[in-house]
Parts: sequence; C-alpha cells; structure tokens
Amino acid sequence: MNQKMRKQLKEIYEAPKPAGKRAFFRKAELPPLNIGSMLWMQCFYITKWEWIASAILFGVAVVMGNIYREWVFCTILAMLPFLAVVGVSESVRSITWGMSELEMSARFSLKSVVLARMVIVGIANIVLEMILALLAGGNLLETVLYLLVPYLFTAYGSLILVRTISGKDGIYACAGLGIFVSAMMEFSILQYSWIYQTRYTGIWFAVVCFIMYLIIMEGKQNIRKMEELVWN
Amino acid sequence: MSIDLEEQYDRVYRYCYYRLRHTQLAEDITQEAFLRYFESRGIENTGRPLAFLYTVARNLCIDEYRKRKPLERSDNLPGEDMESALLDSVILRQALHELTEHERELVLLRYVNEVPVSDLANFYGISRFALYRETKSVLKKLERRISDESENEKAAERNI
Repeated sequence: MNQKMRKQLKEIYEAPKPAGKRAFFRKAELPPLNIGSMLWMQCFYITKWEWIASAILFGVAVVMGNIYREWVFCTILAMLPFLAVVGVSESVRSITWGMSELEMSARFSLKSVVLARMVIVGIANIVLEMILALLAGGNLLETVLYLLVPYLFTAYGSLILVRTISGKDGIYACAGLGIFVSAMMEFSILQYSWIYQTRYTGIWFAVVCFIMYLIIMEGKQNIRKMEELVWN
Repeated sequence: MSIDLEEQYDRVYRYCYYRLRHTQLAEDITQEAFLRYFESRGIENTGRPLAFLYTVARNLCIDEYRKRKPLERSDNLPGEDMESALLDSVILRQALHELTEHERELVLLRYVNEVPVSDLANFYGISRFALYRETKSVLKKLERRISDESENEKAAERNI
C-alpha cells in the first residue's frame, strides 16, 4: 500500500480525541517492567552520538593498530580512557544537563534509568574491549586486565567529576581526565614497560578489583546524591 | 516485548470508536481493556500484548452491542460528515464502503493502527500466511474499486 493511501486511510479513520486519557494514565497502576524490558527500552534513549563516538574510537584503535603493528597495544590502550569518558557522560546525561529533578517525576525513577544506562553502556564497552584485546594479541587474560585498568580508572574519575562539578564543565573535566590517563598509559609503556609482565598479573588483577570496588562505592554516592535532591 | 501504552491507547480507542461510533463508550471500553491488561501480569512476557488488548477490546465491544441492541449505529465511516474530505479521499471512502465489515476492520488494524502481522494473525486466530493472503485480496479489491471510481470520474468530466 502506498504512503498516500495510508495517509488518506488515517484521515478517514480519524477518531475524536479521547478526553480521559491523561486522567486514566495518572490514576492507573501501571504494571512494573521486568529488567530485560527496561534495559531494552533504555537502549533506544541512548543518543546516537554515544554509539557513533564509541564506533569511531573503536575504528581508530583498529586502523591505527593495523598501520603501526608494533604499537597496536599502545594505540588501543590510549583509546580506552576516551571510551570510558563517552560512556560516563552518556550515563549521567540528565544530571549534566540539569534535567535530573524533572526526570525524577517521570514514570521510571532517575536512579533506575541511570543504572540501566550504565549497564548498557558498560556491556557495550566491555564487548568492544574484548574485541580489542583479541586484536592486540598476546595472553587474552593479561591483555584484558591491562585494558581494564585505564578504562575503569577513567570511569571512576569521571563519576567523581560529574558528581562534584555541575553542568557541562563536568564533561570537559572528564575529557581532560581521559587525555591525562591516556598520556599516562603511553608514558608507562615507554618508561615502565616492565610492569606489563606475566609475573605482575596478580597485581593487575588486584588493581582491577580495587577500582571496581571504588566504582561501586562512587555509584552509591551518586545515587545518594539523587536521593538528597528529592529531599531538597 | 513492551509496548508504548499511551500510543496504543489512541489506537485501541480508534478501533473501539470505529466499532461503536460513540466517543464515551469507546473510551470506557478502551480503559477497561487497559485495566484488564494491567491486571493480567505476565502478558508482556508472552510476546503478544497487542493481540491481548485488541481481543479484550473486541469482546467488550461485542458485549456492548448485545446489551444495547438498538444502539444507533450508522454505516458511515468516522469523520464522513466533514466537508474537508478531498476527492481522492472520497473515492477511497466509497471503495471502503464496498468492503465487508471484516475487511474494513482488517484495513483499520493493519494499515491505520499498524498492528504487526504476528499480533494480527494471533488476534484473528489464523496463520501469518492466511492473513497475508487475506490482506492482499482486500488490497486488490480496494485498488480495483479506486481505479473504477477514478475512471468513472474522468468519464463524467469528459461528458461535461
């Protein structure tokens, strides 16, 4: 059926506006969504810029890694902090843009929306990291640990920054942190390459676990801050 | 599968209005269908929430017919009295009149309310293939009527 006919049909079957719709949805007890549906629904609210930026960073890491074969690990390591910055800035978009109070009065609580977005972006980034770890070669477990440290550290730092610095300045600060961590990782490869050895895998693992713990604590802080907003 | 409830509210309401031609009744039945949908937890997980909503709405409309047998119900399509209807739209209206009640309902659900094929097949209790065949034959009928009407219009213009 062509579009013109569809349009005409819609006009023909046009019904008068329902008068009680708003009142009905205000009063009705809406059924709770299960976690899967909630995550799936939130996927469509993540901006396309987040996906595009992640794809660009991934593409740059792959292309640069292919051009400078011996520097493949170095290139990937330099890109990961930016992936974390992009992810965090997307997860806390409503806080950055001052929409958090408004969103708290919406159907889904802001807390669950922020958590859902963090989970989605986190899973997407971890998948990208796994692929990059495979591209980087070497022992997969070790490579994953090396890549996780700058990623998680930037994510942790970014969470603190967006909590303490309000508005767009928080995002600029996160970008700055991303550049700093990226530079630090390059510096570590050039000056302290001995830390990337199998005998230190245990320490890398411990560092990953510690930063994960810090991220969880920081996530709790962020949520507590939202609760304070409600009381205010 | 989760559905956009507010958007579906308008569509189910349109369907009820089309069947009953009464705004208040159509809205009452739409709300009743949604309340039953909310009560039946787990329907979301069956993957057929739309078929459920339309089935409840249809059954409630049928109950309403039975309760109010002599309910004033013209065969006119909604909005027919509006002067603003364009010529093409008039031809389409006439073509729709030639269809059976069931065929008109099928056109409304598939092309106006945009109910997915799987949900619609579930609603009618037929296979997707049978629904596809039925939809195709209704469309052919509709297009044939439209082309006949257009030719008649042109012939009438030539005679003038």
